[in-house]
Amino acid sequence: MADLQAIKKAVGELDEETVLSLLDNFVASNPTEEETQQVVTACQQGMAEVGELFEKEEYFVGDLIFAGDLLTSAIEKLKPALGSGASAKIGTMVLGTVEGDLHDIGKNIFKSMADAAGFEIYDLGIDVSPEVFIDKIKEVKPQIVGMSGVLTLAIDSMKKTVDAFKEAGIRDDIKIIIGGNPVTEEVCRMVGADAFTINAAEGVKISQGWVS
Amino acid sequence: MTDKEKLFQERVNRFMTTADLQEPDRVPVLSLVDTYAIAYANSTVEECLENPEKEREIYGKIYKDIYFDGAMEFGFSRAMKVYDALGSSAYFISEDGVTLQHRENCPMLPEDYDEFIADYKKFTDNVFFKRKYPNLNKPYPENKEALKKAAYEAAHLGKKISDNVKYLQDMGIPLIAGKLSLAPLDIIFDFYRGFVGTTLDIRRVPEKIKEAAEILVDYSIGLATGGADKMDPFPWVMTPLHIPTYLGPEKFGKFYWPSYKKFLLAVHERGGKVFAALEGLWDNYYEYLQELPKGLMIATLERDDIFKAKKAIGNTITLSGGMPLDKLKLGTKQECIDYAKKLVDQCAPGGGYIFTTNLVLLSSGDANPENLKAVNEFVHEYGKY
Repeated sequence: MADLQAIKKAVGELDEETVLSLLDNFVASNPTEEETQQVVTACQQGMAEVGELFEKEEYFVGDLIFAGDLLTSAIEKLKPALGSGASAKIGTMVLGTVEGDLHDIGKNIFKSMADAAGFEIYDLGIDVSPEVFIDKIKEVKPQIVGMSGVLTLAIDSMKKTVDAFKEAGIRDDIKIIIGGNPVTEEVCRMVGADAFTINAAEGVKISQGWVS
Repeated sequence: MTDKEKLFQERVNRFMTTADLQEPDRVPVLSLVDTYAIAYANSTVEECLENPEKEREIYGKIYKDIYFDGAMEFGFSRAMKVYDALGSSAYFISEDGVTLQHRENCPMLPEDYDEFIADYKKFTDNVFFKRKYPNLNKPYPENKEALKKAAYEAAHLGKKISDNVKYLQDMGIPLIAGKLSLAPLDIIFDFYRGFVGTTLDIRRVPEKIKEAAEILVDYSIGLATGGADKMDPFPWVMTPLHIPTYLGPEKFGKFYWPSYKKFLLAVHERGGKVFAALEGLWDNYYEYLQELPKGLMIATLERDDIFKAKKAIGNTITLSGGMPLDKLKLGTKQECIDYAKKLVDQCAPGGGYIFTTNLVLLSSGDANPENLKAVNEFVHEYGKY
């Protein structure tokens, strides 16, 4: 049986060497699917600690990028032992960088943290048109839609997308959070979103509040 | 001396006195207008690239209508045609015809560090450029032609830029930044390893990335000095600082600051000053900035609370910025003026304050031009010492 506390702690401390060697040993012990799921959960709890430390300004954006990379390689290692058993999700989220904008570093950080927090994520990538958002929302019925952008152009794009949601009659079925360099409270009001953030960890907290 | 020449000299003095942390005649009003100038003139980047004279007219329009004492840049500065010649699409224009976007193209790999450290020039010329610029991989003589065309376009760009400076000067407005350089770690971040790569290297190969940054110090200094051992105190050397806000104080102190500080002191020793764009949030790094000689740096702030910054580092560093772009975009004229008044009241006493926006203006909606006009005029009138 894996030492779940040690795994959680090593992920929280971003101690890559320890995380990978603990997981190698664990996978070599021929674990059951259920045991593997517990280890995945421990990794995710470690990621939640990373988020906490980011909020306390002990970690910074660079650390979050590294944490995302570490979590991805951890899950890769565990995949063969996971089987097809899906774990319970706390909610569904559709994400994308809005039309006309190609930046995705922030979105990807948010995605890896929201994923670790237990959300089912549909990431539509970059330069996502209102139509593509709408089709996906109708298909997967998320509780939350996250829109990201770096350019000030993205603000107008976000507004256009929210307006298209109203037009399509789906605005009231979802909570909308916008994120990225140009968003502020004033921008949030103008766009017609429900929340804004420039901080991925805070964004995950807001999202958790909406589904609890 | 013509009126314009007199006005030009007055403004240069205004910036110089301010940057010496003394009180000038008035608070200088700086333009961080970039491609917003094109939108303001109802034009497109494409039109600018067709003809340098037309470009200067397009960019000049906003300076005819709105009060400015100086500009950070003037004219379309990206080397679009140089990149084209090399087959790279590092930059492209957004659908609005105005906003420039950048695609990261950083094809150095973590296993390249040893080669980089052994001889970075050789690695860059023989290995790295070929990865970065597709046309250099074409068979001879196509690769030679591509390089020739790129050199030709670069020379043209150089001429265009100096003509642009002259054009602005004839309007009575100085360009505050003469040369552009980069901090050593930002060179790695911007060109070689990219956002994610650099971040992971700091954790996985810390000694190597530190050494690579040290190696680039002389290159950074060379960009600023052009090899000269004496520099003028004006115009300043511009350094846009990219990665710091993502690092945190401990990693900033270890990986970024040592090599950048060497660069800063080298400029200082030669009599120059550095205009640093502190991109993102810097309030965790003030104690590092306090190590600098008084009056060496002019810092333009993005996310920092300028009122706090004034108290913390205002005795060492000239501060520029403070006017929030979102207020200029969405606020009323009176709200904007009230905020500008607060900035002058709290930041201007004693000198060392330049009034400008917190962000560079890129796209048409970035600011309501009426608001921008109003605050600039207000500060010019009200900001009298």
